Amino acid sequence: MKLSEHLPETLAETAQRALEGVFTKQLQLSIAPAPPLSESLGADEKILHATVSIQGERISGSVLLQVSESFASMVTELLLGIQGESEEIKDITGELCNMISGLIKAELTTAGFSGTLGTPTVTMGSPITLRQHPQSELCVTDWSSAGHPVNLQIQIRLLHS
Amino acid sequence: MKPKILSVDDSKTIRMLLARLFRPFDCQLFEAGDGEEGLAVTRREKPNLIVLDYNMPVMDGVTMLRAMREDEELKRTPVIMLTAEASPDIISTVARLGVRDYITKPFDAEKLLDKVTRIVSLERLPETP
Repeated sequence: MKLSEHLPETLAETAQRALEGVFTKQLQLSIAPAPPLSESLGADEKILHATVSIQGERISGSVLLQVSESFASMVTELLLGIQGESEEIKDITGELCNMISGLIKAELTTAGFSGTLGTPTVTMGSPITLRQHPQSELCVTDWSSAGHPVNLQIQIRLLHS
Repeated sequence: MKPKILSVDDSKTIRMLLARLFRPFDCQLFEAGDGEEGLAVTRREKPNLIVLDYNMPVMDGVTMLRAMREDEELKRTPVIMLTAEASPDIISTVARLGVRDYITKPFDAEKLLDKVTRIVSLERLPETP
C-alpha cells in the first residue's frame, strides 16, 4: 500500500501548497513551475541543501529544499535587511525548509499520519536527489521564484500498511 | 522599566527577525538557542514575555515550559509559542501548560507584534534620522 493512496491530494500538490504557503506568507514571493534545477543553474552556482526529517509511527520521510546561494542571499536581505554571511544564509535556508516541512507534516497529520519534525540540516554543493528506498514514494518538484530556481523534494515511506 | 522579551529559537534567522521586529520599541530583547539556555536566561533576567519555539536541540520548548511551570518564580511568565509544529497533541499540551498564544510558522510579523502588545506594553522609540 502506498501512502499517496491515503492522501486527498498528490505529494506534488502537497509540495506546491507548502512551498507557496511559506514563500507567499513569509517572503511575499510567488512561485511558478520551472525546468529541473540542474538545467536552470548558472555556471559555478552553488546550491544549498536543507533537509528536515519527518518521523512517525506509520511514516518515515524527509523533505529537501534546494536553492541557489544567490537566492538565499536575496532572501536574507529581504527578511533581515542585511547582507548575510555564510552562517545566516545557511540558517535561513534551514528555517525555510523547517517551515515548509511543518506545513507538509500538518497535511499528513490531517490524513491520519502524525509525526515529529527533526531539526534542519544544511549543506552546500551540487544539486542532489533524495534516494528512493523500496516502498517509499519520492516527489521531485521544480520551481522558479524571483528568477531563481527552487527545488523541493518529499520522500515518504509508509511503515505499517 | 523597559519590558524584557526573550526569544528562544534554534534558528538565528527567527531570533534576528524578532530583533528587527522589536528594534523600534523601547524594550530589552534577549536570545537563547535552545530550551536549556532559555531556562538559564529566564532565571537570570525574569523576562516579561517569552517567544518560544518547540523543536530545538538540547531541550525542546515543551520541556522548557514544563520546567518553568514547576518553578515558583517562573511559573507565571507569559509565553507565546512560535513554531512550525502544528500537531494537535502539542498544541493541547502547551495549552494545558498555560501558553498565552500559539503561532505557526510561516507567520505574519505584524500579527505577532499585535499578540505581543496584548501582553506587554511597548512604547515606540523616536525615529532616528
